[in-house]
Amino acid sequence: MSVLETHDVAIRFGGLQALSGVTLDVGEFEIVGLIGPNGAGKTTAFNCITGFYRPQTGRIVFKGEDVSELGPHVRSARGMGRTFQNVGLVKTASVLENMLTAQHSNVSYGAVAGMLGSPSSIATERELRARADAILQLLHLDHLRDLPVRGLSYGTLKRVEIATALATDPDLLLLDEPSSGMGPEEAHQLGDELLALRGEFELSILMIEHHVPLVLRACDYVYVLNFGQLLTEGLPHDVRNHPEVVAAYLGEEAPLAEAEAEAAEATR
Amino acid sequence: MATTLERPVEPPSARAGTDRGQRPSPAGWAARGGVVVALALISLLYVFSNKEFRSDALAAAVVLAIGALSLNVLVGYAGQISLGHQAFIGVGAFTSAYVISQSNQSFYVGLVAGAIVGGLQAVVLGLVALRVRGLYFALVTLAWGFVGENSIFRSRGLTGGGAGQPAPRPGGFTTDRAYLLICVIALTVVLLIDWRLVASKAGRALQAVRESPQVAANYGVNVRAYTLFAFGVSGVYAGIAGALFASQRTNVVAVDFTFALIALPYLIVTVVGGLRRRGGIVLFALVYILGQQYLPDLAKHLHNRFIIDNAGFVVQATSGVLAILTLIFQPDGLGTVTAPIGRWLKGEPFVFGSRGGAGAEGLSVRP
Repeated sequence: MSVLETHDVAIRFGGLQALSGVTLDVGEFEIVGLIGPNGAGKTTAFNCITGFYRPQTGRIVFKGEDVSELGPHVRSARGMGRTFQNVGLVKTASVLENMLTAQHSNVSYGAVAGMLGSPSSIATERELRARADAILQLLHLDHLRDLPVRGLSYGTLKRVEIATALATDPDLLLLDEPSSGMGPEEAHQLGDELLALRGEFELSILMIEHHVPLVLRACDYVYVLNFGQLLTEGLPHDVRNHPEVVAAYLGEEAPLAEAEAEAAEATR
Repeated sequence: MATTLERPVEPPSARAGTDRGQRPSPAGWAARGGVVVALALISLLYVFSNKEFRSDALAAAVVLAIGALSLNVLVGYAGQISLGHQAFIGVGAFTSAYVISQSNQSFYVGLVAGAIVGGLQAVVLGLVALRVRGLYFALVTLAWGFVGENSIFRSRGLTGGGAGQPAPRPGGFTTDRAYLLICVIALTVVLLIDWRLVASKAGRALQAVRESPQVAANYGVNVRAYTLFAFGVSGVYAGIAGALFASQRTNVVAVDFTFALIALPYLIVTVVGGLRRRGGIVLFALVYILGQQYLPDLAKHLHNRFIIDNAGFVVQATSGVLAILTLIFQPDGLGTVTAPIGRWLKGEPFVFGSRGGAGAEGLSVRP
């Protein structure tokens, strides 16, 4: 069964056709990569899926239900957990406070009951803390628990954001460039970690990612976007050597392997 | 989990380890208890030993504190603005007065009615806030204040016109000192609610909405609903303040509810007390009212005719200057002082400095 399906999603901003006819599918417990050059429309696709943008045509089906008309907070409550390219955290709050806020839709007491200090609200607060601590521990972030988010390094923020996305109790995790701000070594480990998280939290994952080794390590399937259209799709290794993909990333006639070798040469 | 990541090195922070561990010793708790008891005793002594009995002024200060806490919900928690709080307070005051003297209900029914109607009018204004933002919304609130001041509060049937609407105090609490007790109980209830508000899901949701509606929605927070919620809570606080205000004066007239008498001083008390700083706000409300009471005495010693004649003006002008200085130099206001004390009383070590206040959020008027 598919967790997420998009059907012919298209969106236009003024004269720019940002997405046209994007149809993709994320199966249960699959890790799916969404790659493509800058400006291809990857983040726009995320915004359509999570409800921050309303596509002009097309449908978003999540866990078998059409969610096209629902707002982002409802989709979050239904099980979409998302991270942002430039970090979507409450920066003035601490890591723990973010973890608590992220559990908003799973809080059983009402806003007014919490305000009046009902006994159940106080008991629930304790449970929220315990759950936040458990997730932070799992991601080895517990030493940051009481630090304000503002002031943490970018790479750390990306990891904290994954923790908050997990705290929303998602079925589908949408990660927007999770490895940015991390070194190659860290990015590689992130791949192992995502595989482990999938098992731990029974997740499906859709991720935008540029780091090729990470995509090869973690993804079961890859979609390639270019100029708002799906260029191709397939297994990671096939897509990597697909001539059109190579062309889209590097211009015509420059094989990816050669470019990688050059890059390695340059860094040496 | 099988994999481990290298832990990035984080800069040391003054905040680390304040939440868990380091609980104070029994002696530490005794010291904290001692401070609380001493403060309570001093307050009681002040109320009961004062020859020139100032309970009425204290009641006014408590009402001001509740009104400023109402603004704090909007400005501090929700990141909205109200320049028309004379309408918020006035609606509560006239509702309560009307219910007490025209419908012959008790003071307590009037208080509840004031809170409810105050909340409703605020939610209506909140509906506008969902459509108009920033400076333009500030203008809408300004207009709403003047609509209340110049038209609603002058309609004879509701407010008694120029003669005003009587708002008798509840039986058994007609003296200034007894009525002060009612005001203090109301303030305590509002403070408790405010404390739980911030410590529970609504407070966290509002913090997220204030900082980034996008992040809030991604966390599952209904941004529109929580914006309206903040307006509702602010309106309820304001309605309570208004109802208490009415019976403190025992008769309310439209001219009590002007921008200069209510909206501006309330906003100044909120800012100088410190956004999101309950303790600072209550403290500055006391300073603001008692300042006007004691300044003439002080001026007599100094033989300063101008201050004796214009104590109210002097306090207001000074507070205005303080508000500007607060915004520029110390966005936490009096909270800079009260917050560390509050944390210490809760059992944390005494650390001077702001946390989670306006200062920590980098509020600054400087470019």
